[in-house]
Amino acid sequence: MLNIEVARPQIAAFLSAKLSTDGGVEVGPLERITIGHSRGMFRVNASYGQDGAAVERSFALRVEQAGMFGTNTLDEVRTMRAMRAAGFPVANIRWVEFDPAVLGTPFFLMDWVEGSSGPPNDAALRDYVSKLHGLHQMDWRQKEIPFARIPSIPLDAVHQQVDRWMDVHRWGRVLPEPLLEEAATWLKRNAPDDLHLTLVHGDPGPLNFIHDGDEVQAFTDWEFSHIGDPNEDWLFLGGMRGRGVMEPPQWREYIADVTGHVITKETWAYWDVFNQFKGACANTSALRIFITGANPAPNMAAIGTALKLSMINHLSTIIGNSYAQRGE
Amino acid sequence: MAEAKRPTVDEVLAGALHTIENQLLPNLEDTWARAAAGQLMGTLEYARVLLAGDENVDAQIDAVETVVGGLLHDHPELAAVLEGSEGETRGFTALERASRLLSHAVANDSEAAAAIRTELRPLIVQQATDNLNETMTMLMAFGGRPRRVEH
Repeated sequence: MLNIEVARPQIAAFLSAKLSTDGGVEVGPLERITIGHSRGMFRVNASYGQDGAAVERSFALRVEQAGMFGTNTLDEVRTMRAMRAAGFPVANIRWVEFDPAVLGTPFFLMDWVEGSSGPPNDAALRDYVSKLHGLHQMDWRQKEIPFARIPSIPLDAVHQQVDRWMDVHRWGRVLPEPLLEEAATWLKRNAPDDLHLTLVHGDPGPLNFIHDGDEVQAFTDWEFSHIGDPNEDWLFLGGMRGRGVMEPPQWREYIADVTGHVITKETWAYWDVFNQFKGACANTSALRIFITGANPAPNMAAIGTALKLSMINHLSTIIGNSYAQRGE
Repeated sequence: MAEAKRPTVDEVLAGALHTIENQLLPNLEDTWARAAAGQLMGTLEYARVLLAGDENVDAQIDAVETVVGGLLHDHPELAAVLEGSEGETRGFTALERASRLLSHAVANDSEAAAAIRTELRPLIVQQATDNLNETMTMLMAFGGRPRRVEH
């Protein structure tokens, strides 16, 4: 777990080595960015002299947390750089560091993006949904995005992602979760017929984009991105992350209104189970991180137990309903 | 009857909760620190729930073993589904077996699969619900909103 009091001079030394300055870099107190739990996020305010002029500059520091959610810095950095090169709104990554001698864990530093990740106004929300739709329309085969897994057919993408998240769950668990094992099989057996292969952000919604006025400035939190079906994103937005903005039925109508992308109730239910499964599996990693002491903060305990169990409760209800509809 | 050392663990936890809520939180301005303090209260309340109840999963494992044993008795063909399901602990083995049976039932319409769905699944769902309820104090505090300490 990053101790910011220790890290501050080390970050100053790191920046001094990276930036061309007159006499090194001074770093002010790190400011914790209070969004997300997958990574430690901090605002770094640097000051230095350059060619006789005083420079004040901010960066966003993103630090790995001991395998949280089974994701890694390398994949995220590669994706973000590829997406930025493709013209998508993504923060510019200045430096990435994997040597644990620097901060004890991999991290990267981005140019600071001015704006807010809080509740967007109506225009910014519409801009976000339009841009997410645009992400799904991109010709990903031409962008050479270095994903570790490239599915051959749409159904393969579902199986890849189910297996990916099951692996994360099994890494983090203390005991097997029968309802997650059941859900993995259910998701493979009940995948919709009309699947597509597109870029998927994987974690879209409020708090994971920066907006300024009416416009989105940057999509953030790319560690879940992959090639898969776009409905995974729409349900993550409308069924999970966006519920503080409006309820799922309203989201379904809103997405159709803004993008023309219509999602049937059956498809909505399937991807709802998928995302609850994904969330529960990812959250299990927090349990291992907490009990091993890698990060003993209370949010890790809550994510790895209660939050995970609430998702299992949700998905097992939908799967139970599917059995009931079969007459059992 | 054994006599407890004083203060008890529960009294210490209650005091810690009271201190966070009434002495620390009112003087914390940083958003992340306030959220962490609220979440810490949730974990301390969870610890009190554990103290007052059962910290072990043995009773749940007993129940799973009983139902799985009954399914195997009534449907011996299910033994093939469980081959190689031994884990490092009794609890791991029992829940691994339950996992395999529930997954088997998803993909089959046999009488045995129906029995798994009607006999084993409700037990597993109920145990998951019980575990969720036990950890609910952490979920309620996850957004960082502190609550009144119950003495």
